Amino acid sequence: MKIVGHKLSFLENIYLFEIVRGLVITTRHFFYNMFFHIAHLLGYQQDVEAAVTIQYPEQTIPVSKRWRGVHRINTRPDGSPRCVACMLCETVCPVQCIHIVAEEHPDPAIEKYPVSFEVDVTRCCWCGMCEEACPVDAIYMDSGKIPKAGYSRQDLVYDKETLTKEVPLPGYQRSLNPPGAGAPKVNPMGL
Amino acid sequence: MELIQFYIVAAITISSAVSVIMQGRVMYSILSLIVTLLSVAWIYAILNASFLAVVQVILYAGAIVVLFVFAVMMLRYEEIEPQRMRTGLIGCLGLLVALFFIFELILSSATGPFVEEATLSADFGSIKSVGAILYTQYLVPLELASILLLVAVVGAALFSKRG
Amino acid sequence: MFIDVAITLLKIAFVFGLVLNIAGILGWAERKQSAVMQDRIGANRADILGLRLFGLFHPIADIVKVITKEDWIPPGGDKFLHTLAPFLALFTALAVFAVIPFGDTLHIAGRDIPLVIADLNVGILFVIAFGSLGIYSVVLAGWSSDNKYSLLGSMRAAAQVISYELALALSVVGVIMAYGSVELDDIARAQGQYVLGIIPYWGVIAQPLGFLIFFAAAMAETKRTPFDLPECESEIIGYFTEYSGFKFLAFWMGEFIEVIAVAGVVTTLYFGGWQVPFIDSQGFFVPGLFTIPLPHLLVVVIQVTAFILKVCFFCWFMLLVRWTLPRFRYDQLMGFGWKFLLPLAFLNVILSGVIFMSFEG
Repeated sequence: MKIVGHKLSFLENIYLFEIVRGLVITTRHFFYNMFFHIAHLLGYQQDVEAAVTIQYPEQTIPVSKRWRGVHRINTRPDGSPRCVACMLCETVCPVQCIHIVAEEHPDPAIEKYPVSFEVDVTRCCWCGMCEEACPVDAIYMDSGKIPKAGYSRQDLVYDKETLTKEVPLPGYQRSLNPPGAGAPKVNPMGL
Repeated sequence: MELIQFYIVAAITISSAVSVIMQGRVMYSILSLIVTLLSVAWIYAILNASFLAVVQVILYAGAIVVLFVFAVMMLRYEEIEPQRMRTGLIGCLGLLVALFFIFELILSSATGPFVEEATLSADFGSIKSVGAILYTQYLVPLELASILLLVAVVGAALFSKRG
Repeated sequence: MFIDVAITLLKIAFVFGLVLNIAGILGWAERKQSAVMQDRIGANRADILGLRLFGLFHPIADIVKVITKEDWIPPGGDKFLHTLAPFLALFTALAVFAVIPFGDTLHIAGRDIPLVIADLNVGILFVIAFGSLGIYSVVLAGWSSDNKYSLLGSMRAAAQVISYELALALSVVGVIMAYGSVELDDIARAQGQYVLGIIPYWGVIAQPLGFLIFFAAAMAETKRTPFDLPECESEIIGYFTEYSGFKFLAFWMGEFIEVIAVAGVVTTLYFGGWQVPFIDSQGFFVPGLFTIPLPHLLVVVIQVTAFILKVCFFCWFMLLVRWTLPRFRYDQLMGFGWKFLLPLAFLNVILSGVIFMSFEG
């Protein structure tokens, strides 16, 4: 092991001047920020930040276009989910956070539909493999949302209705078909 | 008024002093010692020797007894269980010393010089008067005591270097 | 007789009300000030009916939280001493304020009221005495907790407080030499003189080195961050590891009260106490030129306000230091106390003795 030491000069050894230097830095920050905090209160200098804090639930940072947020189930023109319950996303999910219960669809051209489609966001690792796997443009993670806190685990298991209601963040949409657009009937064979 | 105060403080002093030797647990014993020292300081304060009172608190209660506490904290709990009163030679010796002190106390309180009405100078017990006496009348004992302390300090430094 | 008692009670109510309120606000100030220094916003979420008021409700929320918590005593610990320790911490910290003068003598309705609770003729020694008694709360807290980390913390605390007390007491000697008195009231009064007619003869002018030593040692006595080895907030090996609920609050408040006490003593010894430059009992004056007479009551109010502002400034400054400097290592702490501060304090005593003698002669 090589220990790299910094040889202290005499003034640094006395320590007093270094203390004063540190105090000057923090005092400068204090008065600079305090000035702008007070100015903001009085309604001036709104464009200069006094703190780097983001007040999270009220404010969020702008996310990248490739950023993966809470899942969204794309819909057909009639508002039903585009999902055909093929189980590809459930299979590919590395943390098994998607649970689908399939049922036969009355329309033979669609074949299957999910009775329940649950995403456990406490388990989700935000890898986006479900997006990649989906053959019918049904699941996307382009809502741009961070899951909100919940008081129970069940609060953080999002069901089909919740996921269907999500819309892509404007300008972030990754699907070819926006919600409620595209072919009314899709299946893996005839997209 | 002062007399009532004195009796109260004296009662506290004596009872806490008894408690120092009668306590089974060492920590409580030390706490009683602190109470004793503080009430002795209070007696000094009643006697207008406020400087002495404060020095008593700073030196004894604030510094010396803290070292006792330090030592007790270093000990393991089993080692400070209460011991039975020793009999035999040491006990006899202790009794002898105690009797001697009681005898002396009775003798001095029976014959000692008493002043009915003492008049104090205005700065009695103040730092100035205590300092003036210490550095004129009792200069030699003071210097000897400080040399003793210096030797102790040097000795402690020497031991820590060797150890 | 009755009025005297009433006046004393009023003074006690004023001083302790002020101190306890500042201590409560310091809990808020510490969070907010550290946040502003670090470009953050700080605690601002506690609200009453949507009113946030810069997070000023956080101390209230803290107290509600702390009071409703379980008050737990370690089964292997000593119940009596465990309960006694936090009260000792509060008591020794609060007792210091009894001798700190917060204003000039008030002449009202034919009475002379000295604005200090107890005008003891031992003054600053009383402060040092109670500062040294403060160790017991720490030591008892650590010992009675039946926890080796608490014990370790309290041992460190005791060693630290004893070590820095020497430098603290010795640095005060310089002030006593400069003003020829140990009474805090006399010291504050003597700081109303002027050097060369214009510079106020404050302790920091007479004793610049002594001020630095005193301030460093007093910071160590409060056991806050550059010297916070007894607590070690980040590693939690402190003497109050085993405390919860209201007793923990007592330690917490005791720490803030110590900060205010140090600020008060520093103000009184080194920054003129209640003196405001160029304002005395006659009124506002420019030395050698003119005097604008002010009513006595106004002067006293100005002086008391000045004292409180100075104390608040030093509280602010100590928070600044606490959020700027990293902690000492233990051997550095002891080395700094014994090998640097103590010899410096001795040097200060000798130097100021020589200087004052030569000025007098």
